[in-house]
Amino acid sequence: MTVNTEPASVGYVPVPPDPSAAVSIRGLVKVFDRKVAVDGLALDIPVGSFYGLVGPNGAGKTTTLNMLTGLLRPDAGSAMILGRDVWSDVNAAKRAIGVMPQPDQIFDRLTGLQLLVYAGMLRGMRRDEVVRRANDLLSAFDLTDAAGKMVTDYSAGMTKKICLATAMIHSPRILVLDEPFESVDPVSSANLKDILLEYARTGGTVIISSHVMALVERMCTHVAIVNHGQVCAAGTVDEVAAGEDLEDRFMQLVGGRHAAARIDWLNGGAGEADGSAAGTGPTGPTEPTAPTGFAPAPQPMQPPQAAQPPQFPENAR
Amino acid sequence: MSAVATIVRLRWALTIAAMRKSSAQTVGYVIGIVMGLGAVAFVAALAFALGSHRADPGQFHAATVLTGGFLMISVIMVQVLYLGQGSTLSPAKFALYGIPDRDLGLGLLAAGLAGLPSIMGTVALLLWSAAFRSFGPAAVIAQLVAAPLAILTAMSLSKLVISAATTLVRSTRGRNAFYIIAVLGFVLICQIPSLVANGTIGATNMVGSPAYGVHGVADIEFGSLSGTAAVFAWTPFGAAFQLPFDVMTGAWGALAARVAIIAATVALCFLGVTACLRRDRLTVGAAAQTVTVKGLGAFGHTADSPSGAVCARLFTYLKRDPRQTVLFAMPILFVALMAIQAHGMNDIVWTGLLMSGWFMFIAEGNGLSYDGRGYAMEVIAGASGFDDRRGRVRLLAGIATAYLLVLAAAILAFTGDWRGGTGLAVGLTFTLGSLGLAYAALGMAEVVSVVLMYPVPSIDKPFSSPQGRAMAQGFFPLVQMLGTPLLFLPGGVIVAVLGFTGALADGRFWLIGPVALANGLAALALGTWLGGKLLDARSLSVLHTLDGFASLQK
Repeated sequence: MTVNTEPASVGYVPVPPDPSAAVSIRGLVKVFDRKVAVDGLALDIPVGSFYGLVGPNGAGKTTTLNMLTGLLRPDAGSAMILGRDVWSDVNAAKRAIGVMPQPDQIFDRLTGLQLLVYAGMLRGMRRDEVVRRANDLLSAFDLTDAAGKMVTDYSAGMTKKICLATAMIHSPRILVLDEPFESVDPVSSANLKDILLEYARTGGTVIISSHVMALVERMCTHVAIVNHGQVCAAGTVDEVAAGEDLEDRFMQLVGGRHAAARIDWLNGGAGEADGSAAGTGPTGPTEPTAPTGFAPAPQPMQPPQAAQPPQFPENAR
Repeated sequence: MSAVATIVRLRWALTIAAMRKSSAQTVGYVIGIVMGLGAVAFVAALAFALGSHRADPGQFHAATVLTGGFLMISVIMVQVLYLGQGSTLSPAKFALYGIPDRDLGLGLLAAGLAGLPSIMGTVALLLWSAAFRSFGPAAVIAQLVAAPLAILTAMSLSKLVISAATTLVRSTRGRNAFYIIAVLGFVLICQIPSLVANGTIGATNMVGSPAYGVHGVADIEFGSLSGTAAVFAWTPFGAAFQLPFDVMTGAWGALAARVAIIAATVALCFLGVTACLRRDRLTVGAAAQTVTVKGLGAFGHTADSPSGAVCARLFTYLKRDPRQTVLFAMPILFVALMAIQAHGMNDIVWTGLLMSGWFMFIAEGNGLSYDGRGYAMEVIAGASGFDDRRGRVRLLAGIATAYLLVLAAAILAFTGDWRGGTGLAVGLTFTLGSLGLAYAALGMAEVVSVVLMYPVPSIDKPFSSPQGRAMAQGFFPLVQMLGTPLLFLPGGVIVAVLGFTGALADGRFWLIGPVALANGLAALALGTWLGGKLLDARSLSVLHTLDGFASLQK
């Protein structure tokens, strides 16, 4: 079998990359063995936006972010950050952005302060400046008391916060965060959100991938729904939601909801109470009920949306 | 007591269940049984052969007590080394059932004694009584009684060491220290037979014996170790093996004292295990001890640059990563072992220094694997491969220089070569040669670590063994070890030319030292540059490989 690594033709508009955008992606393709993970994806992310990348598991979100941040070489297509092609000088592109490492992608035997200093010095910053910024970040993330503790002794939420801090130490213009709120407690999560919203208000661009639709709807100015390695819809949250709840809209675009399987014996004890427990046995008939309100067919890919100035939601905090 | 019986039944139920679940486990178990039976058959054959004629009592005594004691210590060490993997019958798994600590301790001891290794060991030692036939029935009966006592002692000591380690090794720092001590202890114990053989041969056959170096272990004169054996027999490790000899010689007082030692050992071990279980139960869920470090540590002292960051990070990790820390103890061991076996020949001690330089950076040859997924930070930050290599080399070359010079000074003092003359010239030549070899080995390591990586245990579970490790771990370091001498070809050519022109005559052999040092430094510079280029080209591939290794460690 040969895999076509040319950008998908259906619905694809050959719009040139937008150098004024924070991120401009065109025809990005990645194939693992024979599985197409990203299939001609195109997207523009405006400067200063809080951009949510959402999609089901295996949709290609993380693969796209990895190709955008120089951590995975694409098979075809281009990715541009602040007008510069990522892959022509990948290290220069990396210095312009801040990527939050996963908790197992850090040196957790360093103390929190040491980890931040390491992240800053690696990027060529002067030590005294890094130390000053590290202390500011530790204070902002409520980690001052834990600055001298090894990160391996941190809780999951503290580790997420220190990972985010390593991505911010060099004051990047773009922050790329893959599932930043996963396993973070509500208080830490709220503090993280405040810091990110403040950063976006000062002109920084935040790109997050998430499964939590409510969070994206509440925090993000823009959203792109990714499915099967392509963008199904992209634009401001209101544009994509098109007057509906974002989660419902997501279901419509992505599909995949099916009727709940009715398992006769899995009756929560109700069957025993009325004397009809598992009467039909394990091979008894099941009659799935069609759900209402779901459009089954996925929508064709839409062309990238023109960059629009961000407007933060009223209820972001 | 029903809890004890239940735990013993549980042990066998779990063994049978594991065999049912996995055919590989069954095959492994069958192979284990066959090997165990083979060992029992070997002991039986040896015992019957020895018992058919009256052996020299002195040699027989020393051999039995020392070998038995050595095996007992080995059994304990092997149990400790597998501790990191977690035992099926871990006391923590019984926490839900409210079993009294004494019953649980007794049950775990009984379960250990009811296991196949204990049964095989007991049978082997019972059969060993045949070796005492020529010394009379009393000695045979004494050995029959001593056999289960020896196994009981070994099992009690094992349980105590494991319980104590589990209880005490809670903090990360404690676990690291425990790992280092365990590995060094194991290495030293493995050297004991070689040291004993070498020392004994040296004492008896050194002069004018054609057998020296040919028959090796077969020529060991255990008789000369009777003093050591006599002392060892008063320890818990050798007491049980001494009992039949006490009966043979009619030393009834000593016999009673040694039985008391065994009883006291078993009792104290049991009390210790119970105390550990109690402490574990009462402190379960307590937060592990954390260590607080003030300030920047090494990050405040290295160069203010990306390579300085790498240097400081590596230095901090070498202190906190037991897998790597332990390897830095090896040069001292090399030199010490060479010194013990030198028999007055100073050149052999200096060879230990040379070997130290050669093998010092075997771990660095797989350094990126030890970094693990943390290396992603460098890729994310866009740090260059050259900065990475330069930071590592700066630190490791510094460590090698200081370490080898201190060792050289110690050897000069130990051998007396510091007094001057040829000895001093030889010493300085070896010192410069060792430094050159260490630098070349480091240069080689900076290249091979980018291309020939193999999985290492997780830093959190240093005793575990990830899949696919054995094959690569055997082969890849070999490339580094054999490749390092090849880097000395230019220096070799220069030395050969100097030799032919007579420049090395009249005691000027010391010129080899500076040539080796210059060659080593050039190899280091080349390795750092080439390693950096390779890392730039392969950084994403390295990251992908490290992701794969990380999944093997789970």
